[in-house]
Amino acid sequence: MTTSLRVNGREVPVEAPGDKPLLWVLREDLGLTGTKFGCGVGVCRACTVLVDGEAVLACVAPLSAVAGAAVTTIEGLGAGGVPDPVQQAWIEADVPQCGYCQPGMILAAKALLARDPAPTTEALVEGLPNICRCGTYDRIRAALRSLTAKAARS
Amino acid sequence: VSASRRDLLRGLCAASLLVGLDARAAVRTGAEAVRFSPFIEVAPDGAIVFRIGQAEMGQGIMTGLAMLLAEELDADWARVTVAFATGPEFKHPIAYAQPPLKGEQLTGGSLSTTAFAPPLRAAGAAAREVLKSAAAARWGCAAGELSTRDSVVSHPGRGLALAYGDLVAEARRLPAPADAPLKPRSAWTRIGRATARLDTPAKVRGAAAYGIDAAVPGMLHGAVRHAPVFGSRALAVEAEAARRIPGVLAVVPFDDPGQQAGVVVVADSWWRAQQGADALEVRWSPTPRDRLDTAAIEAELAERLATGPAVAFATTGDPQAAFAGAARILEADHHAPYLAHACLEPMNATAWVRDGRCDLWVGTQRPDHERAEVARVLGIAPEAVEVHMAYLGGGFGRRGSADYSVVAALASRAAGAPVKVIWSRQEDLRHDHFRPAMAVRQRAALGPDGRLLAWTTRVAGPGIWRQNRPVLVADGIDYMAVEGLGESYRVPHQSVAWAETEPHARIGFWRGVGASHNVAFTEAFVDELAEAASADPIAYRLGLLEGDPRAQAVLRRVAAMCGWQGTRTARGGRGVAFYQSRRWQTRVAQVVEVERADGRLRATRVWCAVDSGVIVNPAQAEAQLQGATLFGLSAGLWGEVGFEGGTPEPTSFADYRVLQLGDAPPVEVAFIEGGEGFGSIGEIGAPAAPAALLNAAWAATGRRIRRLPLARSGLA
Repeated sequence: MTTSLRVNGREVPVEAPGDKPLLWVLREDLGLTGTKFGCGVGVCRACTVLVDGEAVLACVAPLSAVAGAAVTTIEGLGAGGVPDPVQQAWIEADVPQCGYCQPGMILAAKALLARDPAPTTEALVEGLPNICRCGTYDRIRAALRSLTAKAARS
Repeated sequence: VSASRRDLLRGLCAASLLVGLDARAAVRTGAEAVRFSPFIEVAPDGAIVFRIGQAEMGQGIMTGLAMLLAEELDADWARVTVAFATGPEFKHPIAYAQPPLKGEQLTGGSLSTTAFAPPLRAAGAAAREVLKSAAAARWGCAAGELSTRDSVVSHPGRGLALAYGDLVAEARRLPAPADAPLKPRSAWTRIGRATARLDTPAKVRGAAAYGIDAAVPGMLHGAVRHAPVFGSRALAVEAEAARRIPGVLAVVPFDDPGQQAGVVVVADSWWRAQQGADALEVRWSPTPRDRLDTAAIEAELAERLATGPAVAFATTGDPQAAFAGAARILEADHHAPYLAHACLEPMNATAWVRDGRCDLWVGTQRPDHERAEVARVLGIAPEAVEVHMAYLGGGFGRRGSADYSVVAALASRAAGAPVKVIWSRQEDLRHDHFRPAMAVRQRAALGPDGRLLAWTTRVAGPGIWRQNRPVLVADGIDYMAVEGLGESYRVPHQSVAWAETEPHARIGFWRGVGASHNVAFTEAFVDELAEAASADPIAYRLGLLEGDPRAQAVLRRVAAMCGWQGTRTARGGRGVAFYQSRRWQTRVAQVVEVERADGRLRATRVWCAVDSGVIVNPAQAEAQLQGATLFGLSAGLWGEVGFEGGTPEPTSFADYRVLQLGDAPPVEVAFIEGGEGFGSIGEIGAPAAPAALLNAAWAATGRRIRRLPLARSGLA
């Protein structure tokens, strides 16, 4: 069956069963491999994407549940070669080690900032239970601090 | 395969790699580029490609090795890109290089910088001298009159300058000098400077290609279901329900005795393949381990601490006599459990078996081993297996085992198509090559003043080399079992012995390897020795390290960093641990601070001081210390793979807990460059961290916890 999705600003028809998880639709049907498989049961959050601006765990979200919605993956952040402010903060803090969790981490942070444009660093920390096995948390905190500081100035 | 065809394939592989690693920033040096060595290529437009054989699994090695090359080459850093390469030129100079082993391309043992600093610096210097010779020939002067900087050769006296790219045509025809001089340390401009990772931009764009991201035309997808108990295999597979799932194409039982056995389901989507694997009904063969559980493992190791044979590893002085004259004897038994690596990218590989050969797309620490293992099960020559390197979504020692590649190759051969096999998280956790469970009995003979006279250690557990590299077991000793014992301190009378046991599952190298359990035990015991001597734990260690100024310096530094005033704090406690490793040429001291909350302990701060000699990239060395410290702390708090009915128990991160942002303590790191060697960095934060945690737990609760993890005692 065909489901219509809006992915990274583009309408895409997807030929896949309605119960196929969005994660595998993105990775297998659309070739958007920036969204990562980590556990498949919604625990590690490596698969986090934005659906209508909200953070969604793509590994447990069936395609039918996001039909017609606007999906943003890591490939859709930033514009014209300019990184999104969250990506820029991640670059400035040189956060990644293996990097596998970082797309999900960045999109989860993006959703938090969209909901509350001037959050405290503590609120961001609370809202990011995504697992990083390399232990980049010190630098994630540094990136979040710079984002909250910028938000407070603007 | 003819030489020309292999070269062609290799060329194709290299080209696809450059594109594949970061599709949006493809780099090519083109036909006019000059290859100065296996590691260095310079193009007429000034683009520089460094080829490295080391796997990038998060440790920042592609940046660090590029810095070593760029330093001696005097390269313009902005024009540098790095490509992953395979081939005999990229064999590890140290690890597995001693006879009877023949060497292999390998990333492990925290030895990439130590091993590759000499050849890469030499290669950089040789290329620099060739470029200078080319300029000297053009200007009719001596090369010694010239200087280099940022990819430019200049003649300061005559005001001449030429970019490296403009010299490659002439440089192509010049021989490389055999012993180009290395720059003196005072002239370094790159080594030691905090440098941003080269892979960060691609990684934050989602453009970095990991093994799991491989895309091969016509590729199918496989999910695996391993035999639940190590040593078991499928006797009968009822696949009717699996085959009824739309998209399921093949059901492939496999049995690689002594390694792994199970069934792969191949489908047009991984999601369907996993549904198929779940739907299989399999009758598994019985094994002697079918009633094995966590308590039995503990009991077996405890028994081997007291009885049965043990092989002496190292003895100094006369411990027996020292014990006979002791005023007091301390004894403690410690136990550490099986642990999983839990890389965030689950095990996976993509294989395409055809025409008597096999292409493999895999994130691996040991490409030559993958080739050998896949060749073995397919019955082809290792040269007929081509490994296409990718980024690793975590490695920690796990991605050198080749079992994931073997499964993919068998699935591809059966399906007659390229197949990407991804392990579910449960498969990844349950069919790991685990850090083995180990137990240690330590005894100390004390003088009347509490002074340490003698220290004996007996470690019980299986040998990782015995299972994976038996040729390395020398005189009955598997160094992986005893590493970290009797190593940090010089004690006049000391002995270490190993009581070998049979492994209960596949075991392997886990960040810190033998030191990951042994240092946790020894450093917890040293705190008991300090208590017996009524001494402060840092002051006590400084006393043991009399005459070892580099070791003392890291302890003094960590004490200064945390404002050490003893172990007690208002809301919890602090613990210290120290480790120095010969293999890693390093010394590390860590302090962990814990606080009590609702009857449990929470790690709130960590301080690390390290002397590993020269630090190539302080920014990444810091990140490695932070990451490895948290890796060790996760294990110390919660890490345990329990067994029930012979089957490992974890199913996901929900029951294999690791630190998350909200509970990860900040880790402050300082480096002392106490020597000129390039020591190790990647693992050194891991082994002592659980010991510092145990010692902090004692300070906070008064309880000596001797069984890892803390969660077993209800404290985490």
